Amino acid sequence: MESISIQSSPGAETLTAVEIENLIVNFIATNLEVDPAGIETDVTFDRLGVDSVVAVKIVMELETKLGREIDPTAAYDYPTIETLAQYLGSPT
Amino acid sequence: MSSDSINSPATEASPPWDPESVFSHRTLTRNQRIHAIAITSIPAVGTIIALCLVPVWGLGWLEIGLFLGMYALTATGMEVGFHRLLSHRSFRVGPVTETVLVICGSMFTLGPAINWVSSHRRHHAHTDAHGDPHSPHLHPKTFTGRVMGFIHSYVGWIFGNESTNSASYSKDQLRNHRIVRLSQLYYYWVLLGIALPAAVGGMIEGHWTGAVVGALWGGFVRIFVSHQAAYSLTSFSHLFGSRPFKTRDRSTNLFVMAIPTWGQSWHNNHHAFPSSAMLGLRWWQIDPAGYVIGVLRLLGLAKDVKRPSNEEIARQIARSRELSSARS
Ligand SMILES: [Zn+2]
Ligand SMILES: [Zn+2]
Repeated sequence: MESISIQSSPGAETLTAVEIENLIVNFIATNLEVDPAGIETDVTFDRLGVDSVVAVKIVMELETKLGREIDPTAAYDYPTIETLAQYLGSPT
Repeated sequence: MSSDSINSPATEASPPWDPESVFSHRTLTRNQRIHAIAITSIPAVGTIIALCLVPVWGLGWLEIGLFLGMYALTATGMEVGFHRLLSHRSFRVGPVTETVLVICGSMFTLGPAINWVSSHRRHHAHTDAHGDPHSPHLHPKTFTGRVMGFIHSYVGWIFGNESTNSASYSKDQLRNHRIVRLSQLYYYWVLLGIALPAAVGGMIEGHWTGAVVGALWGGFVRIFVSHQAAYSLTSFSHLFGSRPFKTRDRSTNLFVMAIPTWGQSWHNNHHAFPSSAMLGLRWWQIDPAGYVIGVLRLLGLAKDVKRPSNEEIARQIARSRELSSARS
């Protein structure tokens, strides 16, 4: 979980869905101080303690990591880690 | 009453500023502003309509009863639920009691539970200092500065572009899925706060006019008046009144606002003992929310009700006297 190697670069970064999943899991684990192993990727965000404010924080984090703008409603349209990562990830 | 040891913040240093704890994002700012405009303007318009109808329909027990009933219910939800339970965890309840309190607090219409808890905890972490979301003391010490500071602390701050990061201040509540869901359903609870008195009014009158009276007096007028009491806490309660405890902040005790604020205007007591479930520390310090918690405790619904011991209160008072005599 800790071994993802992503540098926040200003340029466009292409990450796979799996890498983005790890990114979101780590973000939630760090910010809510929970065990990343307990974070399920196929349950809705509210079950993971993500309210509207934290959802925006996740989008902001992904914007810096991916180097592109993301619609802030993405977390509503794709309400699980898995679907959001699939939507944002590059096709592999 | 169990008197769990309570730390007084009077001696504690302010926590370091966390740059992640407050941020600004266009979507959240827009939603907050729409909310702020709606909750200030709609109840005001409803209150004007209600007052215009007084010469036509009169002002009877139905209007007063629904107003007071809904006021007590939502003030309990706000002060007992959002404030003393969720924000300060000054007592414990079961999930059903907690859910009922949070729904009633949401009907108060000052934002979802988690948002309210986060900004309130930020107020306690940085009271009257940089980072306080609604201090009247952070503007220049000129006449205009003071006026602007007052307006900001009374209601202006809710129109601001800042968002308090719930992940910084409310990790405990975010980990509680029920509280997250109840927060997400906020607008339904707001509507319930208008529909409930409308239904009761309609049933009592057996006529549609009863429902209109209920929505107006139990809904809009009640929201408008209770909000003025809430705004007085962020402004008056840090400006005017007595300060028996020389806390680091400028919080005050204000007797006249005790009943409308459901006890929170014993605000200097509160900043001196933030984790106390009782804000009235003397018998004459009227504390409606404290009485509700007392009843919940007698019913076996509230446990571990925290209150500072008399010795602890006496010690703080003595320390405050020393501080003020040392100053003069
Ligand atoms: Zn205060
Ligand atoms: Zn408080």
